[in-house]
Amino acid sequence: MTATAILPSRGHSTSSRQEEHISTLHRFTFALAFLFRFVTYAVALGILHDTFAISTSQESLTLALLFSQVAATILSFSRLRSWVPPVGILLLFGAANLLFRLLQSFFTNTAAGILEPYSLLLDINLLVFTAFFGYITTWAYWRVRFYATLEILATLFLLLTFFAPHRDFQLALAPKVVHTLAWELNTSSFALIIIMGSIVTLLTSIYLGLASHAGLPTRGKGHATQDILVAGKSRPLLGTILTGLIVLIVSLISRQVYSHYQQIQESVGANGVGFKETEESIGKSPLGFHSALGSNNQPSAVVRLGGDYQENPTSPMLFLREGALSAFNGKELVNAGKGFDDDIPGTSAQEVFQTEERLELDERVPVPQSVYLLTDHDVVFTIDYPVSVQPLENPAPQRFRGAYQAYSVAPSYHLSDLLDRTPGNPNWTELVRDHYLAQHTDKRYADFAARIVGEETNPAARASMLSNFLTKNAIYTLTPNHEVKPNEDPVAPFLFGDLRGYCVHFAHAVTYMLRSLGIPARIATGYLTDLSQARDGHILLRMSDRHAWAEAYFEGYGWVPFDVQPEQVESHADSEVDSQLLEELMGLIGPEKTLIPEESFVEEPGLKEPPSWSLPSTVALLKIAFVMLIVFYLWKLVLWYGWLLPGDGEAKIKRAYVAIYARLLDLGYSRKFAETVQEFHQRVKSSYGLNPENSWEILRHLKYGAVTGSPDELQSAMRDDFSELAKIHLVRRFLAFFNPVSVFRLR
Amino acid sequence: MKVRLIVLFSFLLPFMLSVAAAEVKVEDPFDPNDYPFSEDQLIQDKDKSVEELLQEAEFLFIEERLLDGRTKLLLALQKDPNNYQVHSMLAGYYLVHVGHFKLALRYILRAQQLFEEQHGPPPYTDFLLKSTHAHHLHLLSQARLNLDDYQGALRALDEYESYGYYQSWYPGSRAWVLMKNERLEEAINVSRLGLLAGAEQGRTLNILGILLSMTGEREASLNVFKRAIAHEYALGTYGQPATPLNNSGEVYREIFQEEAAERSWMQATSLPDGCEHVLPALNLATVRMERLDLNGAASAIDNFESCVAQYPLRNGEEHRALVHLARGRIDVHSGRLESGIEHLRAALKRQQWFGKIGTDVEDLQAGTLGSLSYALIEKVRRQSVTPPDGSSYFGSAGTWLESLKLRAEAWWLSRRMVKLLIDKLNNGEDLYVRNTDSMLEYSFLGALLTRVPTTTLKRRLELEKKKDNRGPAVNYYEAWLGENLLSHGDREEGLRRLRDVKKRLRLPADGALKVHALLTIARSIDERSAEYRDLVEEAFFLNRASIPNYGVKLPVNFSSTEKLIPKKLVSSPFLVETSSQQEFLITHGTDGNEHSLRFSSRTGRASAATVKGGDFNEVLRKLSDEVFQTPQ
Repeated sequence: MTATAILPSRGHSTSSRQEEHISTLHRFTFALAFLFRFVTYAVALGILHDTFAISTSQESLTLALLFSQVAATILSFSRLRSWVPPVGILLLFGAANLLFRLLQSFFTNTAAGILEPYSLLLDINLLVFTAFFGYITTWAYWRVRFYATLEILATLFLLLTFFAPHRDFQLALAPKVVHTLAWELNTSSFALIIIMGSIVTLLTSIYLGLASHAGLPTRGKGHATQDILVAGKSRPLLGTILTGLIVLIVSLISRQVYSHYQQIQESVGANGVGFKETEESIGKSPLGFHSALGSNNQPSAVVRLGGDYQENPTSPMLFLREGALSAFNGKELVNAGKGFDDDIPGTSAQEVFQTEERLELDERVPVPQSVYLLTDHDVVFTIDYPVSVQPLENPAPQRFRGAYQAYSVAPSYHLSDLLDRTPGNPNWTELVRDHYLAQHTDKRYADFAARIVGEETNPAARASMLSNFLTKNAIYTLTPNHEVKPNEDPVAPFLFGDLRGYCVHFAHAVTYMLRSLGIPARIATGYLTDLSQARDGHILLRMSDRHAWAEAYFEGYGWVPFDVQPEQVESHADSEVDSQLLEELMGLIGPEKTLIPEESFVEEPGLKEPPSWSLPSTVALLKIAFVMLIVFYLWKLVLWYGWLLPGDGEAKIKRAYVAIYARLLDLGYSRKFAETVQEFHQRVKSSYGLNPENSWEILRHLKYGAVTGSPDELQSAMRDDFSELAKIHLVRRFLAFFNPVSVFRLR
Repeated sequence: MKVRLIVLFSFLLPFMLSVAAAEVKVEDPFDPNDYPFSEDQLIQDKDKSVEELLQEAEFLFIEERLLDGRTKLLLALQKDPNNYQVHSMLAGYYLVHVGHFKLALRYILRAQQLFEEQHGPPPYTDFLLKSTHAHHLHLLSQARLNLDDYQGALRALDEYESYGYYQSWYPGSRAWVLMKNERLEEAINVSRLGLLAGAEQGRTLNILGILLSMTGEREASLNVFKRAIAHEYALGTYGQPATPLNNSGEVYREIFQEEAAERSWMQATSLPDGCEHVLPALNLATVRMERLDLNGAASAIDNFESCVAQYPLRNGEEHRALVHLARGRIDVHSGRLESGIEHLRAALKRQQWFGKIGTDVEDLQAGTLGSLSYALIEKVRRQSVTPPDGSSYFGSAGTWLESLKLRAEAWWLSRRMVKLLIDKLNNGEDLYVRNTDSMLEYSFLGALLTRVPTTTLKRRLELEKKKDNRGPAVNYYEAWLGENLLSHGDREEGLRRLRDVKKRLRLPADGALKVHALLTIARSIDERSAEYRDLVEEAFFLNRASIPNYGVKLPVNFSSTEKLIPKKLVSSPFLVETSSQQEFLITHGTDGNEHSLRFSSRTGRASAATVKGGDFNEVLRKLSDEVFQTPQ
């Protein structure tokens, strides 16, 4: 028996049902648009509150914003005149100020009595302004067609203005939002700015989608209130697919953008001094000549001195060597092969390095040091030359990329003692000596050097004169931008030209000139730091501390730095160490975390830390996604098979109807816009040969109390519907179960 | 500004004396070839007992080999994580040598916890246990104080007292903590009783002097400081007279005896214990800025930084904000606005702990916000009298937009300052001129208070006047009110008050306020009047950089063979007068395509300057820079 046989036939009130359906969908879009705008404005307000240190409480400002946006939204669709509320807000502003001026003579004659009302007035003014701004923008959003476009453009303009100081990879400059947030999230500033850009793009797309959605409530002149929620087709599935597509495209583009700029950043991001690689890099140089990036405060590593190094001959400056360039390839100095520069470990932080102490070197002290890497380094760097380097347990893997301990045998001589020393090492073979004396083919270097040293014959004094000459006459700039062709000498335009350059130019120039004077020389790369910025022997190295310098070899003293620090500075990379950050890192490195249980002193006011944020790990994200998937398909199971669960007759009928409709949706049979249920069923029947309308019929009659059949008969009628669906191929039905559309479409 | 130095030495002295008395197991400490931290010895260290490591650490601290000492302590800690002595020594190390107060607090809390686990809760009967417990409480109070937890510091001292502990440092420390908790009367009583009971003279007298000055008993305060200074000098090389000298200087400044104040600070900065502390140098710079000796102010900060540079391992964080503040102000007043603004922005960003000094973070913020806000206003004004760089419309629009942005920022910063003064600083207690805690620049405070309604400001200043019997202070109140009236439309009354103030000001002591008053009046009157000329000329001779900073123009006679040239001076800090003879003369000459401009003074009171170049506007800019830059 079919349901039609047991139920009285009735006409369909399809239009009201259809309107209800459309209205519901549009209300959802409507609420989403409102919520999206409110959250965006509230977040912007929060950022402004922190950035400009607004003393008025953030909660009250957010409430004012919410109030004004709700009021503007309601009034936009009412018959009330829209100009009334903003004028009312302005009147409130005027009244508060007028009242204050009238009453100020009557306030208590104490400091508090006189000034506190004024302070309150300032707060009120700010609240009123926030409410006014919130009202006007929200009203315009609902009522002015092009306003959403304007809002997006204005937002993008503000964002661009806000982030503009970060262009050219200047991520450590004010506003330090990216830099600070990146640190909090333990990611690189560069990666974060790409992520932020992607998020902005996505949010803008969503906003555009909401603003231009056909179902967005709009009300032009002459429309009645009930006309607001009309027009347009809602396509959630299409919307979901499009959103997914946009996410995919944005992700792919972001990845490409990231890869492209990452390469550029690596080459210029550290004063032109790139990172040495562990793999065979003979004949290559990590140095860049064209332009460099200064003021890059990005933390690179923390060095913890294990003992005092009071004998440091270059105090307060400390050189940390990572690599050396001593082979001349006709154009520049590059990494030499094995047998040269073997005082430098060239091993990674995970490897053990051990060597014999160089007994030929005099006046040395042991300096133990621990290094905690905050960015990736392929090879270790140490003070002067190390006797041993061994990996350390990473005390905070969420913050540090690696850690190692090194024992350096560091110089303790006075620089003036160099005057008594001869250049070179008598134990060197001729091959090695020639290697470190290999001269530049351009004879101008030798002429230049000869002119600087004049009559001076002492090698150490000569070396010092060369670096002093550049210190006095060179101009430090991170953007020398010399026009140099790929095969041309990049140092010549500097030394024989405008003398504008940075450490890479200085180091090359001094090395070439030293060699021309018969002094064995090379370039060292690594870090140069100022110990006066250290704390408790902890040195925070930043990317701006990356450095290249010239070194000359003196018998008994080894490789000695001859660095150039120009007096004339056009642009510089100097910036102060973030002491709070250093303190935070010291806390991570020290034994205190494990030895002093943090939970013991949670109540101590001085030890309370501000809440920190972190990006969820990939595993955590996958877990969340997995749980969501499980919940999703559990819900789907309820939709498809809920009618089998125990319950009274009416509930079961409703669930059966839902199950039938959900399956139809998942199989691809959905109602079209403005189509009645009856029309839908007829279409399904005529086009696909399916007729699962019993549940719907029973439900419809149930609504009017006109169901006459027994429970068994009803159950049987419903089963007929499911039998109808069983006509569809099993594979198709199986795949339909994984179609998410019913979960999105059915409530 | 009240700048109070807690005697750091108070930590060091008992620490060092106790350490000096300890037995040291080093065979020959003077052996030049013996490096206590060679790799071999490190290996040996691993075999040493905790007690041996502690003793060696003590020795190394005395030897100023701090990192070596710290490493020994950390090794001892690894060996025995439950040894409270190691924790206690590390707390002292981080408190005194490193200034890492959070770490010091963690160590001392842990030390105290371990101590009680081993010996049970107090009270103790054994002398050694009692003294250890007392030492822990002392360190605890100092760590909390340095972290601005004043109530916590007081709780530790209360506990100290409750067990009947007493040492000579106690009354001074307690009085200081009470002062930080704003219990002034109680603090005075504690320090007075302490002095009678034989408390440490120098420290207790110092805090008593501070407290008396805070309660308005300035003469008594100065007398106490004199006793403190005499006492510290009597201690010879152990004495620390710089601290009371600095504090007495602050009282002298407060009572407008600037010369005596400067003498005190110069004396303080010349002493070994004073040169490395920022506060005497900062005070010296401030008083010199007030009398417009900008080079003198700069040299005070230079000297301080040179002194600190002698300590290469010392971290500069403790004074960085204050140095930026001073340098920023000096640069702004000297006409170097860009670098001045940069310094002031840096000062606003740096964190500063205030447990050791009487000032609070809000004082520093209010002072910096005020200076920065006014510096931005001055930048806008300076732009308005700067010869244009090219004639593109985009350039002009860019300048206009920038000035709009600067004005908005200046407005916001001054609003923040006013809110801070009201909400956080006891309803404008800093309006009391030269309030001991304040870091405000009082000379132009009136300009920042113009936003306050006149009646409100007038009533608030009346309150100050009632309790303020310092003659020169009234000039400041009158000047602020005059400027406020002027900006709220009461031009006649505002100008009358400013003119009255201008006559009464002392030179050179009130130089900065004088220049401000002169140029504020000048901005409000006719540029062609004789009064305008006199005002601007007087301001020029006091501080030439202030002329463009206030956006006013210096009246000059102009001599040129080309008729069109004088019109090009419209957008410049010079006002060409043709009707009467002026003090200053600009002579224009041409040599081929090259322009030359010569600035000279008829009476010879200002040095002449000549600049040359191809582009007239460029030459004019150079001349402006040369004429209005404070000579160095």
